[in-house]
Amino acid sequence: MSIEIKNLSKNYKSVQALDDVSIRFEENKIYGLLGRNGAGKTTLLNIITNRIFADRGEVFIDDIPSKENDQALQKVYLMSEKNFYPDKMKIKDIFRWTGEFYGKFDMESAMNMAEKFELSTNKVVKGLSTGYTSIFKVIIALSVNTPYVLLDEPVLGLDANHRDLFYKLLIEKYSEKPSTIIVSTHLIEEVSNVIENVVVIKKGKIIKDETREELLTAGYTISGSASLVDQYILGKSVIGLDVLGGLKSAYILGELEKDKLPEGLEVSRMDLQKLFIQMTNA
Amino acid sequence: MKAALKYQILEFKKSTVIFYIIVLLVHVFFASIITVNDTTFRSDGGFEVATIIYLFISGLNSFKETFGMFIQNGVSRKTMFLSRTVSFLVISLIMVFMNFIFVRVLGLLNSSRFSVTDMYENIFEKRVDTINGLTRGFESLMLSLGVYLIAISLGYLITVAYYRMNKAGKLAVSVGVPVSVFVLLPMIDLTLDGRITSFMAKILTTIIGIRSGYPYYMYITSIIAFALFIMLSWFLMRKAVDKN
Repeated sequence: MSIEIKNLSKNYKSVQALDDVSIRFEENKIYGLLGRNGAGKTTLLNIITNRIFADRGEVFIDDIPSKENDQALQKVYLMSEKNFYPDKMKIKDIFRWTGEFYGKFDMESAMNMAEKFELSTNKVVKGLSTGYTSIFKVIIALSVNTPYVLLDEPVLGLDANHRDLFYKLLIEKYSEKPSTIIVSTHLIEEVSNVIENVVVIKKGKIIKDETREELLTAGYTISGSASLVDQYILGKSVIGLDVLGGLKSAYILGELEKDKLPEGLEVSRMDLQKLFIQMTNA
Repeated sequence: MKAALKYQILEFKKSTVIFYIIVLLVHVFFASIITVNDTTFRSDGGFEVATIIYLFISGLNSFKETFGMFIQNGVSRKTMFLSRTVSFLVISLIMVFMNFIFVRVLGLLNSSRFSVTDMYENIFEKRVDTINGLTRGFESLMLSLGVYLIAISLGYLITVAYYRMNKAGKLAVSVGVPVSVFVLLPMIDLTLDGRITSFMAKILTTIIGIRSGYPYYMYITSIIAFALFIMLSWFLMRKAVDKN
């Protein structure tokens, strides 16, 4: 049970959006699909869900080719940045129709979530703000109960409270009914506590596909007085620095040698965002 | 397929109800007016002509929004197309029977000052007197069905074609077709002493069955035209993607 992508390539005129991408999204795991703008994240999600076609390669959903295949497509739901629902349709009607298309859609859960987010289901799509447009789509994604849920920038336009509520509901839903969730986002710090696996895409190629733990143990963060930190990092692979007054933090790739750690320096985990920036720069 | 078909049929529900309310109100309005004024009202095939225009416009509005809704809900293009074709058949059949009933009910009021007749009677006037009521009813229903299917599928083909075209293509068609039909063709026709228009009229009256007086020509024309428009629509939409 998985989404398997084999040798996927896609060009937009002279721009190569995906370049021979092969990856497997396994059952009941939460993935973070991370990449800079234009890296190919949305293209990949759109091809998985048959919204656009690849130039080469194939996508298999539970071993069924997904291209033009209703049986495979009914196993995936993609919440995208763009709205595809009719502008003049009421949210409650969209929920009802989602139930018609996806048999396992949980209307009760959707209505409860709408209440929590204070979303009026009598409103039409056109009448919603950017934040609430994301919210109604997020609610559908969390209630649709398909084995694979793909979220493309799910917290776009959401305020801090709503983002917090979304992550809480995502974890709740995953704990109750596990499914494969792929979150494509720019807000790496926020999502880093939710995801188990990290997939980094750069210029149409997958450059990292590891568990979050594997990735974070690839380095460490050292903090202390600026002079001590500067001395310690000499000859080490530093991927980022933060300075606040006389204090400094350095993000270092490689294994920590605890016995060589001078007094006055503190060690903490690697920062996913710093690691991401280092991996995707240049 | 079931949900897709249900969605596409119900898409027509509201607009069809509004259409019938308006058309019936127009007839009732004129029927009322002639009772107080010394005037006449004739609707010779008006019901069907209004339906043809309505279905053509419905066809024009049947792609973009539904396509978005369906790709959002995991429906393949093949299922979209099949359910759309079936929905066209269903809505056309419903309107054929609705019109058949309305024209006959309003026909009960026919007098020297008020007259409502159907399209069949106007096109095949001579044939009406030579056949029995059952055959006439059947032929009338088939004629309406064929014309309605042509109208809705032509509207659909145009909208799918526009969706697939780039800006330059849209501009070329939007300008090129009217200029060709309303400027170039009449000019060329004028230089050829009207031979083009008379040839086209001959073709048209033949395929509709007016020349022969038999509606069967129109049935064959309808089947061919509907099949052609639908096949071309599929050819265009099978590779359609979100363009925004």
